[in-house]
Amino acid sequence: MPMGIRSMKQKYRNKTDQLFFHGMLLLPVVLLFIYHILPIPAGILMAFQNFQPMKGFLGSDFIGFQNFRKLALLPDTFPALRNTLMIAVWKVIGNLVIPVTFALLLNEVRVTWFKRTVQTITYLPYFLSWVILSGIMIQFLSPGSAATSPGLFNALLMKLHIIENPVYFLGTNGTFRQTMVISDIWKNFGYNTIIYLAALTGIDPTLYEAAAVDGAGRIKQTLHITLPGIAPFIALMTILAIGNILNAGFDQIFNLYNPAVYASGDIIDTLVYRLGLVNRQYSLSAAVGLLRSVVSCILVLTGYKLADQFAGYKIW
Amino acid sequence: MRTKRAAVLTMAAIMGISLVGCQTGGTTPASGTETGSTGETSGEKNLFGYDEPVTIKVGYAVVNDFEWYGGESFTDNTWVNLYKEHNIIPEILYEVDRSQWETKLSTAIMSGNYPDVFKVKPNDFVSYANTGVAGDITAALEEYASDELKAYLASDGGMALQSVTVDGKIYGLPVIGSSYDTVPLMFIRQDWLDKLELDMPETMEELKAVAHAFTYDDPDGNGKADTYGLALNGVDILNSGNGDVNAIFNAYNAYPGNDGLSMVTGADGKVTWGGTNAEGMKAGLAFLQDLYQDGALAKDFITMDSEAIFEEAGSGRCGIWFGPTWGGMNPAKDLLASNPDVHITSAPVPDGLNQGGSKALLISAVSGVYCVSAMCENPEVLIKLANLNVDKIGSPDSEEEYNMYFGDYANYSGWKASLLHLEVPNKNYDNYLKMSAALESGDSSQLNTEQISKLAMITAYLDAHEAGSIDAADTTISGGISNYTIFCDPQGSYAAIHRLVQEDRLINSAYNAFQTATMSENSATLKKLTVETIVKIITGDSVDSYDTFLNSWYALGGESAIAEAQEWADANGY
Repeated sequence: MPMGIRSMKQKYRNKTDQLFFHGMLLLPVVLLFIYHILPIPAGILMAFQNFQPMKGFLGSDFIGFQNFRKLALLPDTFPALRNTLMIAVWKVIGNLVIPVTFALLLNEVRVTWFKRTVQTITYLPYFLSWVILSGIMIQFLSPGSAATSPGLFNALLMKLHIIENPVYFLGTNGTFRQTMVISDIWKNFGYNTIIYLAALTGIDPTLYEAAAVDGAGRIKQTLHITLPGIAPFIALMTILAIGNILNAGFDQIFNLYNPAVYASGDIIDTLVYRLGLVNRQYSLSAAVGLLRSVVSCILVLTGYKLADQFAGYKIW
Repeated sequence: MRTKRAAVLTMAAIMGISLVGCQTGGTTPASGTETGSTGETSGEKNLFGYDEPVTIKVGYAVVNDFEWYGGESFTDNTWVNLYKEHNIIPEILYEVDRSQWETKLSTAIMSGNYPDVFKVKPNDFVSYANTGVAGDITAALEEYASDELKAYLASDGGMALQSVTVDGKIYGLPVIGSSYDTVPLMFIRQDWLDKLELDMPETMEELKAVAHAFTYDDPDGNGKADTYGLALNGVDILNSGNGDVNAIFNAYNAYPGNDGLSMVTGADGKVTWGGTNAEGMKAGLAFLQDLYQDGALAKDFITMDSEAIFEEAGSGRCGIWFGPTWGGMNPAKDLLASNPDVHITSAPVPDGLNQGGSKALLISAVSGVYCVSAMCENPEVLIKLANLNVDKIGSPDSEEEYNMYFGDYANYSGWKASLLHLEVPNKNYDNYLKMSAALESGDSSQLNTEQISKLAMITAYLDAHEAGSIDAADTTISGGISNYTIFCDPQGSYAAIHRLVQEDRLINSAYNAFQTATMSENSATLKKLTVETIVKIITGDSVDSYDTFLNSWYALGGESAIAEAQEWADANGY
């Protein structure tokens, strides 16, 4: 299809439907404002106060940087920071590499029903909440006891002679972080794949035809057409993911951690939960939150600069 | 104003105070306090409700063994209907599981929209009172408390009421429970012991042997290796429910406590944390380490929570667990379907030091405090709800009324559905003494309504068991075995408590006030460190790492907590 007609159609559509789409966007924007933008000043204020719910933001006493000083002295702060970074960095990398690879492979499959089936099956776990999945995972990864045989995963690994004795994946510091990273990738890669598959359909098919004429094989086509074609999406997804680098996934870890793996599994969010909600030190947890937001903000801006520099990609 | 009050007084005098199902005398004169609430239009002082509907915001946190019976629900049950009858209309803000109780409340308070009537843990109470979350109920209590409620609050000599008084003002109604209910006991499958011809373990060495036998000698006789000895709640290892690890340490005179901050009197007469007895703690840890190595302690206990303990015990996988007096109720009920001869017995924690019996720690009898929101326009509603509770629960008029409000496991869900539940102090101990005596003598003339109803279920179960016609689906029978494990079994949980009392094996906590602000601020950090150390040592770390832990524990606020407790003990003559 000649490019001219396509862009004309696009322009025509934009003009008539724009209002409608903006209208549709209104509700999410309002929600975003209420739940994400509005609390920001309050959160910043709280971090420097000795906040008491009944006195409110205006009535509570200002105590300067005392909350941050207290935080630095807390024995849990640095292990939590380290664990968060270790888990989140691997999640960012895994959630990028695996879905891209999977999308590329799936894109080469020509049997439609097979492609669809695989896509649906891998997409399924995305819909389950961690509350449910954690129950399943505890059973699945169980090392067994004197009364029960090892869970499916351990049984499988033992059948394949990869391990000799069952491994307590959720009860050992040496395996807990890996289990968190891999299970998170497993849960999300179906969803992420769809984003890349959608990006793949946007690549002009004539480019492939031209490459084929020039004698490029499948691998050459992937390297020189497909990958550059979805590069902006990869850059976008990476920048978005970098913003979450200090967010190792509260739902998942809170439902799966236990005293045996506090050393490797305690993350910033679980620390905030304990301080803020269990111990009611609201200000201290607000200080942790502020610290995290500042770091995330710096990282996102850096990521954006880098993406602009290396991939020539601009969001705004 | 003056004439109006005079009119009110006159009317009250003429009409007398006649209220539904209550025998309050008209002794409390209307004091000068402003009533000022909605619906206070008629002349007489309504202790149980209002003349016009008053809506109060509430939040439910229900325990995991709670069930609705007889088609009841949050919006339609005997309690809610009773409240509505008295024009108290509950508006439900949230319904959560008991494990979410504190965090949900804390979140709601943070948001500014929280229940008007709520229950807090004793240790959290002071901060709620100090920060103005909980309202002052001094005047409301003075004016509206029924005689029964006053008698309840005076039942412990006013100690509990003293503990909810901050700067001369009362901020809540204490639940004066029974310390006995929470003493950790051992629960064991008697039918397994009998099958393997073993005796009830009296020492920790014997317990180790029994746990091993339960794991490897096929106690259920099905030829499969599908049983083990001991289960622990590894996710929340210091807790007051089933799977509590405290009991193991109690065997060696160490008492970390379910909040991780139990205070005891040390060997030198000074107040100290019950976990500072390093020798005792290490002995308990070594015991658990051995069991874990052996496989007699479930290999996967780390990921077990309280729900899982019920499941492990109730499905016949685990033969020994530790918990409070009610720890055997649900497993017994669950096992009945597959095994009509199931017999769960309890005993005091075995002795680890050959000192003629382990000692248990009695913690403060106040198990919770009901507060009213400082923002609530009708703070007296808390007192009215309490009046209703002590009236219906404390002195039911008939068996039907008792069943309706306490629950009968068939048609009525009972007290767990109520907004405010004040127990009769040491009620369960009294139930045990009276009911076991009545079962033996056959004379039930000394029993109250509750005891008669419970004994009827127990007798039904015992008769059915004798006749070999157990129907586990029959709620009378399953309620019967549940109550039997607590009250009437000569080896039941209250029989074990009775033995502790008789043999003088209960020691008192050295600190009986609520946690101070600094204590509760540090408690989460300290508890986290404690449970982490305990679990790590059980699964293989050196027992001696407990010494290193203790040093950090002191440094992270433990030292100041002990100092504060000592200060309190000195001031209060302990």
